Amino acid sequence: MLELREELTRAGASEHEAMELAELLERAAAPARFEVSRAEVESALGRARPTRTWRRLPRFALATGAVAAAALLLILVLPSRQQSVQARALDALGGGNTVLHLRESVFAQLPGVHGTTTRDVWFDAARGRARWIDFDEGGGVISETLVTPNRFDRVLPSARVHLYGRSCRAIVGGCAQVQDPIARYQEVLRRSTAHPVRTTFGGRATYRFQLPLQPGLDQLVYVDVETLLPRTIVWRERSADGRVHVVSTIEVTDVERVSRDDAPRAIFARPSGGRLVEAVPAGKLVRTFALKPGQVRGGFWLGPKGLRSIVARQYTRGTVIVARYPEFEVWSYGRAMPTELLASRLAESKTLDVGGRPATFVFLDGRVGLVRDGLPSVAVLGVTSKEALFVALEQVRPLR
Amino acid sequence: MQGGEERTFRRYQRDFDALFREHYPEIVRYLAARLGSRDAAADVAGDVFVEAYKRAPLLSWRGKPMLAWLYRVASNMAADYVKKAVREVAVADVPERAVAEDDTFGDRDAVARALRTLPSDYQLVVHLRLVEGYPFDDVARTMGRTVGACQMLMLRAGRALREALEAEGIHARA
Repeated sequence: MLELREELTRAGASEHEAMELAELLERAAAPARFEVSRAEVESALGRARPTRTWRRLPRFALATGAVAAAALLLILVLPSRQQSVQARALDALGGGNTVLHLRESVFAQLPGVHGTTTRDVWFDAARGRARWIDFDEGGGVISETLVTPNRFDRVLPSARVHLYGRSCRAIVGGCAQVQDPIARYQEVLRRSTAHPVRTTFGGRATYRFQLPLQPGLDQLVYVDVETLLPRTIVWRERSADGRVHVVSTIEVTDVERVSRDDAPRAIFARPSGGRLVEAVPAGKLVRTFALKPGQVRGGFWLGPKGLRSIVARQYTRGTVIVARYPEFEVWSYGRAMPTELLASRLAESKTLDVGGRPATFVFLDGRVGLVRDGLPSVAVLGVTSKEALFVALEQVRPLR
Repeated sequence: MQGGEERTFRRYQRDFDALFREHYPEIVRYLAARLGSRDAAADVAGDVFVEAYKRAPLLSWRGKPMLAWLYRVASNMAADYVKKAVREVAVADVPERAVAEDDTFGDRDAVARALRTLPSDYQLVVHLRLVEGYPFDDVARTMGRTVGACQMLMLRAGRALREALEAEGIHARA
């Protein structure tokens, strides 16, 4: 008490006031001074922790020589076992009453766009559900996404926007943003005939699967020989001249199998926060017509300097305003997502922080775009550098 | 010092059980003070550590102990819990307060209740210093403020508590 009185005096209280407040504060704090027994702590620990403890995958190959030799023998002598590797790899992803809890590091290797995103994923293969949180390099939340059959929800906390819709074709970046790489791997593995190759990757014994993603794009998946779970997924694109380049690498750093009953209750609850915006594909283009700046309400532009035209593009489900400049186009749209803004490739989409708010960087058949979701959303497109797009997006302002 | 703190932070990221055993009791005490119920505190503390289980391994070291993050999550969850509880209590269930005009700290619950009405950073500084007994250096590190700012916060907490009690007709007399 004496010590507290001195501290209060040091903070500016008179002797009398310090004595009065010290007594008052001591009394206020007293009810919280209770012991929590060791038994209570252990019991609470058992409840807070899922029954299977978090298990970091071994960093180095743990297979013994005998097991490796036996596995190799099976592969060499019994080629039909290759199919069973695929089947076991599929089984390893869960199903039945098992859900997976994964941690992924996603390294984007798009031209001019670098940086690592960390992702915490819950994946329920049997029920077609996935929920993940993307963190930036500083640990801040970029987005929370829940995908269930026939619906996606994507919350962008710093933009205070909650996008939802029925189809991934209703948001920029398309399915790349609402499909986790593990879900994509599982889907392709299920419908393809893979020919796994036993190899060493990163000093570890793995099976390598080469699986298609979409025309011109494939994935190399390195699967741990012991757990049959993916360790590294490399998304690669083959350009027109036949050269292959990596567009994204996904490292699965931790995997935990959890009984669905043991998974935290709220894990597949719909994320919330921000203004609800239902995203729908805009549909077919019906007509276009020119507007003057004074005629537009709710759109964005870069100001009158250099403005070439303002055009309204009317689709079956909504109208989009496009302000055209020599180097850029500024597209403004509401809930109806114009198909022209869908990323042309699955892997070529990345959500970044631009001026304290998330924006999605996309490649659009020769052009690049930077899109800020909201109501209305705004996209800046051009044949230009990433930096120029960033500057332009920060300069867009309402038309009226 | 900083290196040791960072090592502890990293250890907690790897070892959930150690984090839990070390800090669960004080988080329960903090929540009990915030919520006025030990049972509710145990429930919410469980949720705080489920969150820690999911997120702690992904946090970046920013010079603050893991405890600071735990208190922030606990504070947010306590606020959510209180909001939800307020929504769920029907008007008919709200008890009437009956406090004697010249009650001087006569009602221990009234003092604790008044503390719960204060801003969360006031409650936290009182808890860290007076319930857990941390020196102001540690309080400052956990709250991400200077020692002087925390002492000032304590003084303001005391004054706000006195005002809250006086508004209830309870007079703080030394």
